[in-house]
Amino acid sequence: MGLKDTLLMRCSNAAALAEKKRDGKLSLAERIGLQIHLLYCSLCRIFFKQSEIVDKSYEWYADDIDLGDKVHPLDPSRKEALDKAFKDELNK
Amino acid sequence: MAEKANTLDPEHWIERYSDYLYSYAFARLRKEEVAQDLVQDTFFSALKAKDTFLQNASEKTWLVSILKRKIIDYYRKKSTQNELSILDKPIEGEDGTMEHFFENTTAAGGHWASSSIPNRWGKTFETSVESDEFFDILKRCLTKLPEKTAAAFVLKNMEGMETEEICKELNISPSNYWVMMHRAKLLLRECLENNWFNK
Repeated sequence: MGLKDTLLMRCSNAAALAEKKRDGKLSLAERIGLQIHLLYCSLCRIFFKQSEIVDKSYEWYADDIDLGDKVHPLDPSRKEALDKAFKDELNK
Repeated sequence: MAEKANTLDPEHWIERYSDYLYSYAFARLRKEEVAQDLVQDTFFSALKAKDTFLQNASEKTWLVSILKRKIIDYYRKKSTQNELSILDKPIEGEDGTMEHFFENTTAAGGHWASSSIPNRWGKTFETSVESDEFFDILKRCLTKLPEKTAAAFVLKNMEGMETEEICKELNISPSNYWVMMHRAKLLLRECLENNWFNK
């Protein structure tokens, strides 16, 4: 990244660093450039905050299913067919 | 506490675990057919591998671990199909901006496109999770993601895998991973804003 790109980062480039930042892999130039950009760009500040909420929401979504709170059951006819095929295999 | 040895009881697998495994699979794969097939494969693979079952694990945990492996393999296959691109469609314009989300004219280059500007949200995460409708919106928005875009996002945020692990499994570089994740985030953020947070 050149000096100009560091000091005057575009929104598209700043937003794209969200994931790299999450992994703690920003280079020094990226870290400085992003910090400067976020000082004056309220849209990217909103994006970064909402990006975290999206992450949190899907972690919650997965947890809810894993805990069995929200079961999305298998179609009964498909289940019956599976049960039959599986029992046949067992009795082979 | 005495250790209770667990045994396998395949006779009852379908009635006990098929709904749970299907929910788990559907949430991550987003397609009924694919989820059904992988759940079915899981039971048959488990039966073949039943000698590898360790008695200190629970039957359910063991079946889930087999299903997890199948989900990862599914996304690996998806991410290596059509080797030309790791993504479903090209996303980078000549100046490196993302089509649709950012302006690509010279004057406004790289700015948020007016139709995609992130707006402040009217609802918080904390109040959202109290609503069943939010759960359904999350499901619906995830379903809209193209396959290859979903791969990294699902493995990271739902399977809880580390970035290095995902890159290894999908055989992609960290840069590719960040691009996939970024695209998923732009799409999901917009979908959640329109259908939930600012609805």
